[in-house]
Amino acid sequence: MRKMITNLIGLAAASLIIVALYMAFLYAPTEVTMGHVQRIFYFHVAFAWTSFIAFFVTFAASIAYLVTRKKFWDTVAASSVELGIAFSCIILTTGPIWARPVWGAYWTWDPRLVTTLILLFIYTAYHILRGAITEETKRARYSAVIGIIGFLDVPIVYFSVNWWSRTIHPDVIKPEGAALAPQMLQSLYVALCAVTLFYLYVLLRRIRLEELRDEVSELRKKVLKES
Amino acid sequence: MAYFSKVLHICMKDLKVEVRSKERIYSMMVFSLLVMVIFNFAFDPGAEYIREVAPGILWVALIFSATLGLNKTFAAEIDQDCLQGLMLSPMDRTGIYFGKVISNILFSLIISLLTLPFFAVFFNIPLLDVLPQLVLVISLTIIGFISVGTLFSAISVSVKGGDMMLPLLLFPIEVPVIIAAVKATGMILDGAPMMDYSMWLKVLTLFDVIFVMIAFVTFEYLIEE
Amino acid sequence: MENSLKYMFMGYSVLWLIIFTYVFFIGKRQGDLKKEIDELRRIAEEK
Repeated sequence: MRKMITNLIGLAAASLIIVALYMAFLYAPTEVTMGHVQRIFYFHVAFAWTSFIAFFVTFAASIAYLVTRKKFWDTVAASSVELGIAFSCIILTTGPIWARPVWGAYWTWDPRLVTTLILLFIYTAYHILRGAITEETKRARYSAVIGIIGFLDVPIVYFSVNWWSRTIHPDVIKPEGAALAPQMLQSLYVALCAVTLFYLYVLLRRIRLEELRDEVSELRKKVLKES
Repeated sequence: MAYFSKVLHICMKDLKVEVRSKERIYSMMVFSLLVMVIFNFAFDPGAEYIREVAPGILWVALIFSATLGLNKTFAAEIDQDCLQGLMLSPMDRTGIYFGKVISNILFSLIISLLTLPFFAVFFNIPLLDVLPQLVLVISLTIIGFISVGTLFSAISVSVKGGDMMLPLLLFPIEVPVIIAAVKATGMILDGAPMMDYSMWLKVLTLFDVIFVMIAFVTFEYLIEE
Repeated sequence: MENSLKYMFMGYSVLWLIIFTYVFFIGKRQGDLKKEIDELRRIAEEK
């Protein structure tokens, strides 16, 4: 049952990604000043959004673990972090590639860039910590605490970096209405949905992986006991 | 009130151990001086720009030496299984945390105050006029750094290769504190009025309040076996 | 503007490279684990 749902989500994600790619490359008009490179934007923003969701899921799952002590929540937190890290790597590579022709430099110490980088550091440390602890409940407890603290730190990091350096990052969606052509906005929304579905699909696969891993260690114990 | 006296007991215990061995303060101090001397070689100390990089140098020295001290917070307790004893003592577990936080803050504060004269001499920066403001910023920063640091040192002490984990976990979380500390210190050294850096003081205070509270809630989950 | 096209191409290549590498490793690990489970089951039955 769950396998079927996973596969369905995967199928939906794949088809929506194709649609989103079509829209990003052919449907959306070419941006006047930036040219074609601006087409990175649709997926760049979609991944940025989804990586934030991924870290939020880790945060929520960490709290859920400390409250319920169910192993499932620890698995969700660990799986979501991995995706968040992968997606942050995507943002941090596509962003500078987009920035090079537009701003003339790959890297600027812009608040959003720095915050994403710090986020990547926080969650990489989380990931390394998990690898260093073998005892299961201890690992779950420790990483839950880091998962909570790391996420609560994000807004403070963002605001302090923001005050530290004034931004040149384009604020694409402004409160008083988007500064984008309607086709661009539509493409962005489709990309957002596509990547979010993709995240969900990989998350489910990743959770399944962790369950298989538990099954293996259980079987190992059984075999060792019998021999 | 009873809670407070228990916290004080834990803190006094740590201070007593330190007064006897002097191990932590001694190595933290030497390390902090060493960092400044090394930066002296990295930057030309007579150069004009030294005033601009000086706050950064000061904070790298203070933060690194504080991290060195943090690594030792729970190490002694693990060595002879003293943590078991502490946990068996009839008190709230968070009392252990606050006792340790206070003793760590005191250690780092002492190191900072001892480092300042060397900093002033090495980089030829007059500090006496701005000392009160500087001490305020240092105190707020140390509270923010130690509150999370003590929490994480409870993690790192029971993980293999933990002393390497501590800075890895701690530094990214502390980014806002470090930015605020360096910015505020820079403005203070330039003789700016408090109005200019009050925003950074607010960032530091906010961070301190939020993370002391979070640590208070989460510490119990870290030492329960 | 052709320069712009080059960067767009670069961006998308890196993006899909990261995605496919990650998904590939998940798939591979899953395959390995399934194999291991089968193996362990067989050993358990033989006894």
